Amino acid sequence: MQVAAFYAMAGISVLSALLAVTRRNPVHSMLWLLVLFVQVAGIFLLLGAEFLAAVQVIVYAGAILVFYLFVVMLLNLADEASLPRFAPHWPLAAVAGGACAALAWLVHDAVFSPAGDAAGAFSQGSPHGIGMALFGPFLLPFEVVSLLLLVAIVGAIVLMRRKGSGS
Amino acid sequence: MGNLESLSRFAPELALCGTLAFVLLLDLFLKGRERPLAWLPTAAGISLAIALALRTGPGGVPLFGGMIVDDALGFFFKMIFLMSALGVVLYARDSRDIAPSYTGEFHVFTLAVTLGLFWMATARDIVMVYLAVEIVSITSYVLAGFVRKDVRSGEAALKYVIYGGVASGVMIFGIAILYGLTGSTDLATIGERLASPSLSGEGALGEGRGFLIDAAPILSAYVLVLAGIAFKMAVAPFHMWCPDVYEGAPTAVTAFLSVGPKAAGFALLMRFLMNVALVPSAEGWVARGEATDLSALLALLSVLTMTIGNLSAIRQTNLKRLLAFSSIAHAGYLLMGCVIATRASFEAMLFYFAVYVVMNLGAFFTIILLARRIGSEDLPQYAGAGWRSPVLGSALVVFLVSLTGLPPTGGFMAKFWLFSSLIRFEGGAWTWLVMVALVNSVISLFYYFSIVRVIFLQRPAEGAGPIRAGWLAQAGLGGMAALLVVLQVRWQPVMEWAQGALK
Repeated sequence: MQVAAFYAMAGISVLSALLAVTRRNPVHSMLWLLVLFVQVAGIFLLLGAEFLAAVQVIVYAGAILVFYLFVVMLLNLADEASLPRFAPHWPLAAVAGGACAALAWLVHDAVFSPAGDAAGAFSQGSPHGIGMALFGPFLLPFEVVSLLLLVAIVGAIVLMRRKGSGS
Repeated sequence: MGNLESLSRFAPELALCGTLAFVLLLDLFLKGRERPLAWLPTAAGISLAIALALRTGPGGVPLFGGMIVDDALGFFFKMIFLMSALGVVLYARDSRDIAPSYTGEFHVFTLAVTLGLFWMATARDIVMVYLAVEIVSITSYVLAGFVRKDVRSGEAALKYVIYGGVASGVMIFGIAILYGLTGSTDLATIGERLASPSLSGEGALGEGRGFLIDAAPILSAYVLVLAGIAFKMAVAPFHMWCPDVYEGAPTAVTAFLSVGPKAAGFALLMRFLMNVALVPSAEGWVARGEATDLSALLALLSVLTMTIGNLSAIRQTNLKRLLAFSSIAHAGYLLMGCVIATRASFEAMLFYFAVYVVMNLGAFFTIILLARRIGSEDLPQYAGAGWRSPVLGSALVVFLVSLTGLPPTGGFMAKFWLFSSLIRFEGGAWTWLVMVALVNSVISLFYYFSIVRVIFLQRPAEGAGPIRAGWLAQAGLGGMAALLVVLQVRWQPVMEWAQGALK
């Protein structure tokens, strides 16, 4: 049952990822991306990482994708929609994608046993486990992220204001 | 050490964080012409951090449960970052291309980059490595786009963002593979587990599983992580962003970007090699097996980087662009030290950095002061600039001589130690690399001295008066130039410091 569910979700996610990069209409690409995000959330759920699954839906499918959609709709890409997408780069993309897939397969085969045991690696995927990790061993990175976000926000404002004062 | 106990050894970082928050808030209360005053608390905060760092000293213990380590190597780089940050903050006051209304944010970003560099040089955990690289990257993107109303600055920032985004994506893919292989984020643990027989390139190679299964994933992970680090160091073929960003960014920012992220990238690379990719040996560090040996790849990158850097620099007429390519070439020379990864070559690299910081910052600071009066960074405009300001002109000559690596300057000693460590390694197996580097140094002589020719051998334009600069700024540059000359004779203290950093 679990295996069947995994292959179904993995298959749909690969398919929707392909559709996301090949559709001409950017809005259609976005919608296929939404399908992809939901599938990935489902895979997280299968692995017992329910917190990651929730974050995946709320942050990626919810916030980031809606933000992308706003931008795409505001930009009015009617002209771009008529152009063939990525046409000259297909062989290159196929080679790169194939190499990544081969690499993932090799790593899967050579994997170190504790991480190879998916249930073991993700037993801390619950909100409780993640909370313990974030405020225990990973406290410093957690705080460092706050500095990163602060700098990013201030930076975005500085660059925007620069444009405003320039006109 | 645990999270709470670590705080006492974290004082310099806390001082920088506090200063950052203070300057950010202070900027809201300063009006118009008072804004540039933000340099005062910034410089004070950095000085405080220097004092605290000197007082704490390197302890050699892992902090925050092994996230970072305050060893001597990290301490060495921390001092380099703090000194260059202080220099940049002081000389940025003379910069012509930072609008007064942005000086507050400029200082905030300088402090943030410094913190990111700190963590890049001290990180022991791969999560911390990635976050530190991201802080440095994102802050650098903003700093590169800082010049108001300048199309080049915007173009530079955009190019930087796109290249940087791809580079960090590639790096995190490598990190994911390393985690998948070993199940750990701690650099030392990753190294240990990679050494287990079924995973190392050698032991298992003959046991029927083959190169593809054992060595290929490890090697790909190394190469992907290496690509991310190489982007920060502006090593070819990941250097394309560098000239545009250096030209488009304000000169003070360029000065900092040419030193800080490069040094931090090398610190990270050294730590990655020492902990993950290599194992200790009698002379230094060696690869675990033939299959996962990176030295040929690093040598190739080194040759590519120095050659592309030097050959491209010849054609430049913009001083910032020229120095950008020169800094790419220097990254190539420095990579030679990582190729053989012996104790002697790492010491030589650290020595090189100490000298490189002084000479490269010195050259950029001189250009800041000259460009303020000349109003441009284009070389032809600098005709006779040496006669218009003898102090700045002669200081610039010393910096350029040192960058070329000629005596009597510290630059010569730096190259001497680096090259000799390679020649003495394994009976001169890498002598060809030194030959390539020597040929490159001769090429670099050509473009460094084209600057000298323009500023001293050409006549100033009619009616061009003397160039004046603050006497403190001039004294500072004179001091840096004098230091470089003194380093030719009294190099021992710096070398001992470098040796201590690798104990």
